[in-house]
Amino acid sequence: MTRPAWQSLMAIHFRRARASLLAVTLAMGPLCVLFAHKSGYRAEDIVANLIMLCAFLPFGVGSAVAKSKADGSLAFLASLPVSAAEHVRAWLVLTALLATPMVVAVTAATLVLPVGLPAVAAPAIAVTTLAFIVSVTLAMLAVQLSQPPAGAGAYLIATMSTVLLVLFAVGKVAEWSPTLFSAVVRSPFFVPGLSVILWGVVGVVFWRSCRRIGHYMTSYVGDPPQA
Amino acid sequence: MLVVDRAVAEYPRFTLGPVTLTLQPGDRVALLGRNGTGKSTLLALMAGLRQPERGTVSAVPSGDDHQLTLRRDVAYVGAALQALPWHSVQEHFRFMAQMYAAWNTDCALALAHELALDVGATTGTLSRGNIVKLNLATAWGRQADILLLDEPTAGLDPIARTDLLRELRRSIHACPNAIVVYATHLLDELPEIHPTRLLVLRDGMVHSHEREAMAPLHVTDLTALLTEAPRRSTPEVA
Repeated sequence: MTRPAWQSLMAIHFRRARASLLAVTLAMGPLCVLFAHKSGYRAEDIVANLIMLCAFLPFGVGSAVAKSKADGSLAFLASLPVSAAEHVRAWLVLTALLATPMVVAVTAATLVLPVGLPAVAAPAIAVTTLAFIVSVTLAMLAVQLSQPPAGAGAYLIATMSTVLLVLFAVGKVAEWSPTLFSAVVRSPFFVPGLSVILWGVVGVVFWRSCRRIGHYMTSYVGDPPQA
Repeated sequence: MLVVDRAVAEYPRFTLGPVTLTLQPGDRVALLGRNGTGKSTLLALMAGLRQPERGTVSAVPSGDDHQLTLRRDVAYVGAALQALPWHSVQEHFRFMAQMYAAWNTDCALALAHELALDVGATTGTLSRGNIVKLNLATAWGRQADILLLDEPTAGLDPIARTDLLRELRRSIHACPNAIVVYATHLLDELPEIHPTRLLVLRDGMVHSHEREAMAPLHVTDLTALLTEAPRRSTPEVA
């Protein structure tokens, strides 16, 4: 082998997701610029728009699953002599790479937005964001892999819609009641509490998702037994 | 050697097994059965493409991970495209070289040439017959000791079918220790592989019939095997 199998697999998954990633960037990029222009290029708005754009990128891997299921290439990849761990590593590294812009945007937000968080919190928030985004994406992948091709596409849309709604809701709360939002964020319990919840969820979701991805990528050649 | 030990594959309305089989080096096995009796499922279990709900399937000698060893050592040829649809045939062979340590590009290219397969063509645009040719050339390139053929001539034109059977015969003679399992509905093809054993699937169970490789095979006898339990069958299943 000229390079590890997981790298070849990752390149293949990225190739499948490339068109979706490009479409998201091309569709949302101009919108971000438009909104920023409308608000007079305020730093807060630029960062908020960037977060919105970057949040969609990791979910681009979902389109790779949907496409690969539909044309049988996932079944082909799953038939290769590649261990479950290497399959998981391929998805994991790709997801982490695609989540990096989101991490940068969130870190910038902690520094730019007037939420009063100390600068030292930025790295912790960045790492937590990365772990959270990767776990959510892997969970989506695991569910997609357990579904027939049509279901895989539906789950991708459902997950992206949920993420959009959550981000929209958080943004609206901040907009409608900046005092309440600021008070919550500045509360001494906010960061530790959120961290415990997030890392608890991240740990369980990450562990379960990795196991399920490895299982489906090696046991049923891309299709669950009932499919 | 390929060992299937009380393997069960379950579907909502169908259960295959428990199946117990041992295939020795040099075995030429004809796998027969009507539609929906589980031929493809049995081959998928043997190729490590599907994990049995119960029991085990392993290639001997096997590593710690039976599934991984099977996927490495068993070449499966089905009717569906077993390649990335955007790769050309040549790119596919290069990709396989990255994935299989025993890969032999010359061998794969030689068979592709024999079968008149355009190596510059994109795999996703190949006709059904050419997909089977590609899958076969890939199996040849893998140099596997265990070859599972799932209706390989389905969809081939008569000339390609003749070429394929000729290459198959030649390959079997060249590798006397290889295990070949040939599943087909075209009973007149069976003499081409000189099966030493007939496996008949009925109602999810496997019945094995030993036979002399060179003894004549009669289509009427084979047809009878598919529909009713023959007098001298040897069920391998408990």
